[in-house]
This record gives sequence, structure tokens and C-alpha cells, in this order.
Amino acid sequence: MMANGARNSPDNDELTTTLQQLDDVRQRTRAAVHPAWFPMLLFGLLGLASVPFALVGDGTWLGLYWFVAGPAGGFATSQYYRKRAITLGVGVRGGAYVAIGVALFVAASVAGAVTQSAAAPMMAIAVAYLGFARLERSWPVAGVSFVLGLAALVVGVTDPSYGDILLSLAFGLSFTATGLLLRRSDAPARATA
Amino acid sequence: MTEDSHPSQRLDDTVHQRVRLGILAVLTEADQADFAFLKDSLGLTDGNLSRHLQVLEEAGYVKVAKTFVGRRPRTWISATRAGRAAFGSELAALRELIAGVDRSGRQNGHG
Repeated sequence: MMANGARNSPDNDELTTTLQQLDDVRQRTRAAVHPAWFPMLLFGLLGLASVPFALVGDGTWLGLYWFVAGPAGGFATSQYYRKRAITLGVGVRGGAYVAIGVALFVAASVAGAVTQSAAAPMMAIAVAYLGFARLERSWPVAGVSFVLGLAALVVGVTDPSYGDILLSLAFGLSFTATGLLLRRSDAPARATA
Repeated sequence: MTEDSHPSQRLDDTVHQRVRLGILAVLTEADQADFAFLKDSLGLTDGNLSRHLQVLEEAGYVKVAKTFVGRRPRTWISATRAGRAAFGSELAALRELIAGVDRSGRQNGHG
């Protein structure tokens, strides 16, 4: 990468190569420690599974579903990250992730209980996932979260028929598709793990 | 050292070494990595990695913790705040050096 004498006579090509190699190392490490596909796919599938609950009643069943599925999904995600870190020998500490998960659970529960609709909790989910995207340094996650937030805002303002069902479907499909897409690029790390 | 000084004067002798730069590159992306991951990622031998980790640890740039997974010992390494700052400064100085050489090259080309 670099000769020890570079301090006195820095060679531009050598320095450029050094920076490129450092970028490569950082990108490989980043890919190993940020398997964002897992929570995207898991919560996307949970979102699709929630659609039948959105079809019945006044939203109480949907709320109860997420009251159980949300923490269960969070626990499964934490276990996956932990197991993967131990297997690969590299990982991130979970403090910030746990904080986002707890904040999301509280915000979505309160928003759902107060508004009795899926729009407000979905906005909380979108905001939380923007924070998650920041931690994971993932533009696809940020993009999907932003669009989900916009969709929730539109549904919240216009209050269309079947708004809860549409949002649950949009959430489930977009997160599942993003999760599957990200999973493909994570194949080398998963093969090692 | 002032911010106005030549970027080469801001290079840190401890960090400015290709293996140690690589170690800090991994550890600034991950909160912690184990010895084997660092060794494989950077293509090093046990002895070589140990030597460079010792230098970084003595400088206060990394922390080394030994744990057990079952009966197997495992060595986890993490960057300290000083290590992250030193790596960030080093990258900034290197980028500045490259930009400076590019600028002077263009000026000489037009002069």
C-alpha cells in the first residue's frame, strides 16, 4: 500500500492506491457487519402476514398482531446479528439498534392506540427505519422507508377506504422485495457464515 | 501542529503504515473484529498482525479483549476513540496530499 518513506516524498499513485485499498477493506467490512436484508425481509413478511388482520374489525386485531410480532421480529433480528457476528468474527454493538427498536415499538403502539389506524404507526415505522438505514449505511433501506413514510402520510391525510390494508400490503411487499434484493448481494458473507 | 501545515506533516507515524491503516480501516467500520477476521481480511500472518496490534495498543488506538466461546479462546479488537480520530485525520491528510499533488501537476502542465 505505502512505503515507509512516503512521509517525505509522497507519491501520488501510491497514495491513491492506498486510499483505494482502504476503501475496499472498509466496504468489505461494512458488507459483513450490516446484513440489513434480514430485518427487511423478516418485517416485510410479517407485514404481508398482517394483511388478514387489517381486513377484520376496527384495527384492534392488527394492533394486537404487531404488539406480538414486533418484539418477536426484533428479538429474532438481534439473535441473527449476534450469531452472525460470532460466526464471522466481526460485528457492531447493538445499543443503537435496541434504542431504535424500543422507540419504534413505543411510538407505533401509542400512535396506533390514539388514531386507531395504520397510517400513524406506519409513519413511526418509516422514521425508525430511516434511523436504521443510517446505522446500516443503506441507501435502499432509506429509499424504501422514505416512500413508505410518504404513503402513510397520504393515507393519513386522505383517509381512503381500505387504507390500512393498502398500507400493510405496501409495507410488506416493499420491505420483502428490498430484503430479497439486499440478500443477493450478501451471498459471499452468508457463505462464510 | 497547525491546520495550515503541509498535510505530510500531519501524518501520524503510528498510523501511517499500510498494515496499521488496514487494521484501523476495519475497526472503524465495525465496532469489533476478532483476530482471525483481521488476519484474513488483510492477508497477514499471526505474528505480523500481533506485532502491529501491539504497536496500536501501546499508542492507545485499539483495545484488545480476550474472551472464550465455549472452551476456545477468542481475541476481540476494537478501535478506541483516539484510534478512530487518528484514522480520520490520517485519511484527511492523505486526501489532501493527493489533491495538492494533482493541483501542482495541473499548474505545471499549464505553466
